[in-house]
This record gives sequence, C-alpha cells and structure tokens, in this order.
Amino acid sequence: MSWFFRIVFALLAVLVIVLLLNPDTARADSTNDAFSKESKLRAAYFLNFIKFINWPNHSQDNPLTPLYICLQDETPFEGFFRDLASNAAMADDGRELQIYRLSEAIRCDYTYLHRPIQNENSEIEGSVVVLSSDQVSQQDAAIIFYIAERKLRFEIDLNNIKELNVMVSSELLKLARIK
Amino acid sequence: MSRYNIVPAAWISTALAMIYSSYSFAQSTPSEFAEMSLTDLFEQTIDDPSVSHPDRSRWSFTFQRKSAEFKDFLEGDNRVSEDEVLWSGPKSGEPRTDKNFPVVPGKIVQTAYLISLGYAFNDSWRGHLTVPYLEQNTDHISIVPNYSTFEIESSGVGDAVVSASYRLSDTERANWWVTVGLSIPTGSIDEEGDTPRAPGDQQLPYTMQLGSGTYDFPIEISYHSKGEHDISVALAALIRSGTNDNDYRLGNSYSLAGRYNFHFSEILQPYVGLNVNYTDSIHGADTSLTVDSPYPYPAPITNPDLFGGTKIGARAGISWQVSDHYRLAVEIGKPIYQNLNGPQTREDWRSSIQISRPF
Repeated sequence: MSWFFRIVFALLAVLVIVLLLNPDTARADSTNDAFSKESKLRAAYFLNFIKFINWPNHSQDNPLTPLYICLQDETPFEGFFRDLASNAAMADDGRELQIYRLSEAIRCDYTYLHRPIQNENSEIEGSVVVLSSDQVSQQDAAIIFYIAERKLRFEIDLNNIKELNVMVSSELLKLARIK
Repeated sequence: MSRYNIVPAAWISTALAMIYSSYSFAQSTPSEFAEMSLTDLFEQTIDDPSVSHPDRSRWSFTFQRKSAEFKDFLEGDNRVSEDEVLWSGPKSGEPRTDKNFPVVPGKIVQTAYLISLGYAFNDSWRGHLTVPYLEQNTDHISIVPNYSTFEIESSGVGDAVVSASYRLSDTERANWWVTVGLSIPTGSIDEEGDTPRAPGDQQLPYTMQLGSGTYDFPIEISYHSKGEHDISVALAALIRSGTNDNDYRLGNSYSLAGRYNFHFSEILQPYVGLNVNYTDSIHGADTSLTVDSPYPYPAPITNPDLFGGTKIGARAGISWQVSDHYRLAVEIGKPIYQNLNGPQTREDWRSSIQISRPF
C-alpha cells in the first residue's frame, strides 16, 4: 500500500509544481469569474447601476412599477446580490426590485449574464444587459465589466443603450469606458 | 529556543490573537457594502479581502475535541485473541515467540484537544497554528507479579503545527487548495510511568508519548466541488524527518479522505465520509523500552515494527450553523477494514466535536 501512496504523492507534487508555474493558474481568479471578491464587487456595481439608469416603463404616474431583475442561472453572486438588494430594499426612485433567475423569468428589465446565451431569449428583449466580462461575447450587451490594474471597470455600449431607449446618467458615463 | 520554551510562547500568542480576533469580528456588514457609492466601488481593487468579504473576519478559530479508542488485536487483517498475544510464562510450557508478550495492552483511549487559529492574508493565502493538548490512557494485563493489571497515563501539550495554505484555483464550481506545514516537536517524548519493567517510573512506550520528537511536514492537496453535489476530497501526507533524541522516528502517514455534504437546510448539514490511511512502522528504536533477553520487547507496543498499517474508515457527522459566525460539528467514525503490522491493538471507534469560527 505504501508504494501506491508514494506514487500518487509524487504525481501530485509534479502536478502542483506545474500548476504553480503555469501563468494560467495565476490568472484563474479573473478568467474564471471567481466566486469571491470579483463576483461580489460585480454584484455591488450591478445593484448600483440601477440608480443611474432610467427605464422607459417608469412612469411618473406610477412610480411603484417594479423593476424586473434577471440573473442568468448559476450566477456566482446570486445569494450575495439578493442580500444586498434586500438591504437596499428598493431603487432610489422608490421602485420595488423583483429578482428572478432567467430560466424562471417572464420579463426582464435588467439582466446579468455571465455566459453567452445561445438561443434567442424573448425575456431579455428590451432588457439592459450587463455582461460579467469582456471575455464573454453577447451582441446586445449594454454594460460590460472588465479588469484593469486589478480594479473592476465597466464599458457602456452607447449604440445598444440608444436602441433600448433607456436614459443613462452622465455620472455613470463619466466613470465608464465608452464603446 | 528549546522546544519547551515554544509551548508558553505559542499559548500566549494564541491568547493574544484570540483577543485581537474578537475585535476583528466586528467588521462592515452587507448593508454597509450595499450603501457604498459607485465612486467608492470604483476605488476598490479586486484584491482587497475586506471589501470582497465585508462580513468576514481575517481570523478563524477552531476548538476541537477528538477521541479514539483501541482494543483487541489484529495481525494483518486477522483477529488475534488476547490469550494468543499474552505469553503465559515459562512454567506454562508455552513457547515465547516474537508474537507473544508477558505484558499486553487491553484498551487504549486517546483524547486530543486542539486549538487552531487561522489568518487569511488574502483570498489565496491562509496561515494556521494548531496546538494540541493530549490525554492518553492504557490499561494492561501481565504475568508479572504485582502487575497483573495496571494502567498508565500521560498528558500534556503535543506537537504544534504551523501551516500555509494556497488556493490554486477557485471557480464557481470548485476550488483547489494546497497546504504545507511544519510540525514542531513541542510534545514530550520522555513521558514516564510505573510499568512492570522495573520498580518506580520508567520510559513509557511509543503510544504514550505526546510528540514525535522530530520536525515533520504535513502536506495536503484538497478539492471541493461547489456544484450540485457538495463533495470534498483531500490527499494528505505527514512526512517525518531525522531521528529524535530517543533514536527513533515515527512512520510517515498518507491518507485519502472523501466527504459528501447533504444540504437539507441552511443550518444543519449532515455529511458522510470515507478515508483510507496508510502509516509506516517506526524507524529505529527506543532501547530504554527493551529488556535484556532473547525477546527484548516486553509488550507489543514496545516493538517499533508492530506499528502502522492500512485502515479504511467510514464516518458520519452533522454540522450546525449555530449563529452567523459559529459552527458546531459532531462526527463519529468506525474502521471498516484494518490491515495492521501486528499483533497490534486495533482501532475500535473515533469521534470528534468541534466549534469553529470560520473565515
């Protein structure tokens, strides 16, 4: 039995050394959309953006129209985002936030995607789509996260924003990279 | 610094760290995080754990009580009766061999109290200090007059372990960690007690010593699946080095452990596990345990060759999230297969209870 464990450990030691020396491993946190820090910052940004976007279905006569937020299934920060949203309770303009998984949603005003959607999805049509990374390709994305100098940044696609007919605050545009 | 000076230093630093950790528990909450402005978020780096885990402390703390009981004998995977292992003496006509002994242990009970303190330097690096306190008790029967039954005990601080863990990878589906440590010989290898070998106190056998007496290296690589099935697998080794002051080195041990966690509720999480462990026999020998005779070992636990072997154990436990920060876990385990360098006392069961404050 001893020889078995010794061989397994020797192989694992080689594996660990290879992993440690492999630059892809060092980048694993950013490229794999790690569950922890990046994801939580994304969640906080995703919640914050709501304050700076004005949706067309928001009527002055009916300020309490809920905002339907859709998270793509298996979004890493789903639980954390729900906690944040419950602390925030509602958007600054008094709208109630309704959070759904994309597979369960019947309507989405605001959607987070962490991987491309293969087929057409009618629920996100007209939705402000936020992409987890510039490594993810999604044609109609309005806001795309990227990392620069170990900080989470975001890009805004003005063409897609115009097609959505939403108003984005100049404060948000000032912080964004414009596409 | 001698190894005995390290013990009070370790306890003092543990106490100071616990005091400090009680302050560090009070950190920013998710609600505070939710109130951060866009410009606040814009300033944060993705490396700052106090931002990424606003509700987490950098300190972790675990107190664990582990207990194990050993009784009856195995030679390989065959049961051997106590009568076969106990030599009846020269008058009985039973021949003395290297498989029977004038003194045999009946039941061995080992209890360890472990205090472990961890510190997260960042999301990828963690450090731990673990200090055990051990209590051991063995009852014996023998053919030696006035020692037909007797009990020996030892207790004290065991070997302290400092370790560093590095996260190789962490995705939404799984993570990999590698841990390398140093076991410092803070436990005594000179415990004494009254045995039939001679009047008064003498050196106790290997099982009753509190430490290894050598600098040892625990290594572990672990995998945790966070997908639909919550599975943990860890491959670990304890590599011994050199020879201690009593001229022996405990055997290396290697283990493979798997665990499946059931998520029946957010608060209570039962789990089942299986582990395979192989331990080498002892290298070298403490000659103070032998007697001047053609058969120098008076008891199986004084023969360095009669240690180690292979064990496969099953375990089950439940983990209870008693508060936002504290978790209580209870576990019982029972070997399902043992193949020992024997005759050797076989493990009967083990249990543990621990309260922890994870990162």
